Amino acid sequence: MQIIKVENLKKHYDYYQKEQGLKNSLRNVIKRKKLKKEAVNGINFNIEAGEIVGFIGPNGAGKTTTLKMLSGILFPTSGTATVGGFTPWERKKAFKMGFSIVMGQKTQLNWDLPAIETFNLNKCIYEVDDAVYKKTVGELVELLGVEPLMKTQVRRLSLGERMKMELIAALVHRPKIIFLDEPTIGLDFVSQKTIREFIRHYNEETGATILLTSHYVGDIESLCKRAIVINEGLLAYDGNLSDIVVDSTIEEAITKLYENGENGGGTG
Amino acid sequence: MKEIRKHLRVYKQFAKICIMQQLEYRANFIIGIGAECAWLATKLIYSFIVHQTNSTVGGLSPDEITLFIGTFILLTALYTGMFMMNFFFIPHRVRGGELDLMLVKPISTQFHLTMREVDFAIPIPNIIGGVITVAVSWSRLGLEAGFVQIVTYICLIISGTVLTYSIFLIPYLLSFWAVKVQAVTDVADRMWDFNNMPMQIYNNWLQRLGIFLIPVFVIANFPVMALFENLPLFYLLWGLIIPVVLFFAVKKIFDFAVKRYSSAGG
Repeated sequence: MQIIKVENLKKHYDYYQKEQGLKNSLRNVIKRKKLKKEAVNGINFNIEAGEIVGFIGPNGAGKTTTLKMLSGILFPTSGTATVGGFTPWERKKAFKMGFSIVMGQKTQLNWDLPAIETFNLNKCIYEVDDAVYKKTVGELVELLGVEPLMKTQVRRLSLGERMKMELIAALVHRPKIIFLDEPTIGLDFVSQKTIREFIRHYNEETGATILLTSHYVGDIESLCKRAIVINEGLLAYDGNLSDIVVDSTIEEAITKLYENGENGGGTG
Repeated sequence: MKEIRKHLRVYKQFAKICIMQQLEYRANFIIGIGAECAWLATKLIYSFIVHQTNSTVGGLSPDEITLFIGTFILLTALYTGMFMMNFFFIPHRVRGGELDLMLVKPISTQFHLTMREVDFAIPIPNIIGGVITVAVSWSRLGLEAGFVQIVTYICLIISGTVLTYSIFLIPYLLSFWAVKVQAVTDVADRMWDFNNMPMQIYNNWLQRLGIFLIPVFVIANFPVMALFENLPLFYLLWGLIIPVVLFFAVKKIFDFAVKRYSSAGG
């Protein structure tokens, strides 16, 4: 069953540039030249329920913008998408109850308090039963090995520990669809490995569909059979990872796809 | 109804988190209470001066002015405790993309963005000071304190609070278009001080503008005027209806604004 369907999805932003210096700042007060950034420029893909798909591309390729549209954070300029049967940007409650997004560069945890307080808040927001909540959090805490940190304020946690807590906070309601936007960014090798193993375990246990963006080849290689490569807002590749690494390393294969994309080689 | 109950439960959780968070920094919490006591004292000095000089303001006696001041202190406690910090954070949350994680939660985004922070340090002295000032001046004036008077006063305080939410939220929503809106929000914040003194000190035209165009005078004046039995029926109805109308108008503006949200960082 296709749980995520994306058709000709586009997101264009208006922006303006500012030339160097005070004179140009003054000029900008009177007149600004409007420019258009085509962050996502007509992409198509489908994802089957239960898949873990690597969504990769260089910085500024349109990965996060796509995830934000699929989460209902952003309205697209045009195109359609359904996630779990819902149009994300209609922002229906039933849609929000069934998915989660973790952004490596943003936190939902309360900085001044132990992470358990955010878990409790999410329990209330996602209407999770007491018994189910206790069982879920208990399991997640054990799997990620964070029991000794449950009384520690988030501001005192290391980056890796914080990311583990972010994952628990995002999974309190056992979502069936998860968007992970660079969940291992800035983490040391051991933390990266723990988080990868956890993601794999969660997928196997719950059958959740996971769309993962990462700049770490290790994440993609160890978790995803399939990769979607995006570059300059266009799809550069969608298929099995094994098909692009026939006679090169994964880094070389992906770099080649990026370069092709820059030369206008998108397939999306 | 189920959704309202859920939002009340979530609000209780927000409040619990905020008090825990504020108590983490106990020195700041205590200094905050101290600073607010100083603000409270400056307001009560007005009352002291009018009593000392036995002056009238806009035809109101010293005790009547004190009742007005007490009501203003009480409304300030509600505004600062429930809304002010949330409103201040809106431009920051829009510009920094923090709204992202609020938009994906299965609760009202407007509720989440505008009610997430509950301040306890600022309102504690003002609620205590406000209630005592209102009670003392009410009794000194010999005003009737029956069921009807108390319910009318409380209803108009609630209406004033809803009105405060709606009027003072609108300027902050401009941040969805202009990103940085400090110039506009500063002007709006100054408008709160229009409630500092009874509206009788302004001329008729200004009074009409402050009741019907930007109904800022409705907030603190109407509850007191109702106690003085000086509030015409039309004003009473206006005071009860306009907060509801503006609340729904703000909801529409919010829904429209949030569609423009462009997030940040990719």
